[in-house]
Amino acid sequence: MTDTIPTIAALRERLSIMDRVRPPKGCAALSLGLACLDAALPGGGLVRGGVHEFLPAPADAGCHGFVASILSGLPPGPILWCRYRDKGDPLGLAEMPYGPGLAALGLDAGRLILIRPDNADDALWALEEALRCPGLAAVVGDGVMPGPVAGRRLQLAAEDGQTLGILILPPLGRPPPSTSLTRWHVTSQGDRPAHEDGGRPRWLVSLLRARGGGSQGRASRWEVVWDDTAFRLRLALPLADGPVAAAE
Amino acid sequence: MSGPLALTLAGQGGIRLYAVDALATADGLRPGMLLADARALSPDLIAMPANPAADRAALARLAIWAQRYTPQAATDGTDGLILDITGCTHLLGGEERLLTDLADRLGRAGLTCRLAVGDTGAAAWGWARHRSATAGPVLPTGTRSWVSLLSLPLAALRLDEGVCKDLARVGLRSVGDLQRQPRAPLAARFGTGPLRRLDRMLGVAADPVVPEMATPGWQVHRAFADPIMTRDAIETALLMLLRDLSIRLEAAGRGVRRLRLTCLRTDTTAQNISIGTARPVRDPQGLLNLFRERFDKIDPGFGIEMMELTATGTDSFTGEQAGLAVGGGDAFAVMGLLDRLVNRLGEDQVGHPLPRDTHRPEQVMELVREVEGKTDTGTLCSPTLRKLPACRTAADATTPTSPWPKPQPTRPLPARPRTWAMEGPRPLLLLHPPEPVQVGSGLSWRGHYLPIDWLEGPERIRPDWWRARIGPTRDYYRAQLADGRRLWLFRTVDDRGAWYLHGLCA
Repeated sequence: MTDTIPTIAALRERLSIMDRVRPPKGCAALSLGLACLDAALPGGGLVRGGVHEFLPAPADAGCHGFVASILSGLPPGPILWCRYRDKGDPLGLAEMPYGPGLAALGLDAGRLILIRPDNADDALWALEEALRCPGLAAVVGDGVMPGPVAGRRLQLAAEDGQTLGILILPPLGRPPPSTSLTRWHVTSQGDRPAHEDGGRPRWLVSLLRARGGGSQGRASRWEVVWDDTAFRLRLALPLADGPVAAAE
Repeated sequence: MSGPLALTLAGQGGIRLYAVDALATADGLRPGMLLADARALSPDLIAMPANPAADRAALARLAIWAQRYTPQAATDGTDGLILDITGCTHLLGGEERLLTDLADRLGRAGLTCRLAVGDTGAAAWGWARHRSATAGPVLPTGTRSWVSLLSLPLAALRLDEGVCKDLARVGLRSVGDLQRQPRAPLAARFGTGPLRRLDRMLGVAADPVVPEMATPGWQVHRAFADPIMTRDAIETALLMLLRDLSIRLEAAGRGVRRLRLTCLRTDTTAQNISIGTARPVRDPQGLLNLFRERFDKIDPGFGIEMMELTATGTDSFTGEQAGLAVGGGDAFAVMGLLDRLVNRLGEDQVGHPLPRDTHRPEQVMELVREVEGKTDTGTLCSPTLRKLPACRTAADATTPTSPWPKPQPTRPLPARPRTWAMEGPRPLLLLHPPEPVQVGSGLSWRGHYLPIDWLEGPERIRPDWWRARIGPTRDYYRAQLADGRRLWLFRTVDDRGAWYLHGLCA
């Protein structure tokens, strides 16, 4: 962004709005709650009217935790949470998002509309319908892995409804490329025990991909901690005896 | 056809008489006789087989026909009709004229009848069958009818034959005889049956009429000249039905909550599909969309010859007005979405989490069905289901100060939601049922050994003492594995001391 000619800059800006990587005029993106994370994204946060993908590690709730912490910053409105588990998923059909746990991350489970489709087709259909619905604050597809066509359909549906779409993918080693706006990888990181001023949710967040490419030259890995007293994210201080985080 | 006539039915010991006409009665024939004996008594007897099922069906049809006099018409036994004509007699100019009209019409249809009007169903039954030939069919009202009723024979009480004989053996032959007896010894000896029948006849106890068929309030149907089979034809027919229904609902100011579509096929089988909505709806197109998700369940077979649409649940319609409220349009969009989700995925698959007042972690969060509008059992919290959070308004659109404003992330200050507040650490994803694990220096789960970094706890959670089924007390721990994952484990406080994995912490 080193253009000196203002017209070109304005055109760039306009193109990026048309490309949905930047929120349209008068709208703000959803902040991730941490300035350095927001700065890595061209929209200055998660842009509505698009799908954002989050890739978890197997049997790890860290990714769900990071998503819940982001959703806690949403303006009021119901959130549709579509939980789907493939038969091959290591956790099976047993686990569910849990109200008290969500509350600890600032998200009121009373806002959720929880749906549990039996098959992937129903899950994708439900997500598409929900993304087209203007009344929802966000739509979360938990455990849903859309194919290339379905992914594109979801993206278009989100553009139609101007809804924030979030996909928590099933834990895959190498998910195929998609048309979503951003893709993140989140894993839990060890924290100090509680009696040593630790025991907080701590995640390693990597921005794998952001359409519109905002992250050149900047770090795209952060180690963040959920501060359970201030109820906000903050960058983790490197552990004395743990792996050194690439925090700035 | 001359000569005595009797209908016969296979009975004990051979073919027995089922019903006899007046000529046969004059010859001394009675129902229940063996046909061979009857032929001996009356050589020119014409015997034909009886068909009780068809008789019952014909009587039921007659009961529905009798709804011309009152909606409360029902069959009564195998040979009677009972009509609750309360408030209906003025339409024909009084009870006498109603009886005349009814007798005329039945006579023209070739049916003989004995009619009676009484205060109670039991009184009318007895009066119709057992009054003396000179008495009129209409009983006086109130206790003035007692004189007539008490003079009736005991059979007028519609008692079992055996009970009647027993009562006759102790010298009770008329209703009056029974009424004058002390009640307690009578009940002790003959049961409460005779007394109950007496009370119902005299109007002391209630004797309601259960109508043959409740008139469906909201039903439309359409029969087709040719059976229809294609999806398009079914959809068009359904839309026409929905329009018919919608007009009637609109006149009554109501909307449907539950609809049932019955497709009657040419092979005389019926198929049902039902839909439910979260709020009263009567928009034909919207309802058709809800049915569309279910159309795959219809198998037309060789064709559908009739479609019937019944609104099994309706509510007063408040729709359009509420839409005028702030944010209402969005709220209605969400309601419409919920209806579509519920009708495709099933009612159990769409839920709204509500906190419950219990100690058991797996029962703290209850999923309330969206359609029901209330919790099923046992919740102590207020069942405020349809209260969706306020939809997002224009407040998040910040006013721009420059033509191309730098995107300013907005983020309201989060706070711990009060309703879900818990003392100790709670998992983000709860496993239910809990998974058995082994805990030593590390954790063995599904054949994997996972070293534990630290273990935090215990937090003792007892079962709900106010409930009957009490499981063991549990000691909960939060463990961090060496790879950074945090788990929620518990150990049962009993002889086994078994470890379970109950959730994944963020």
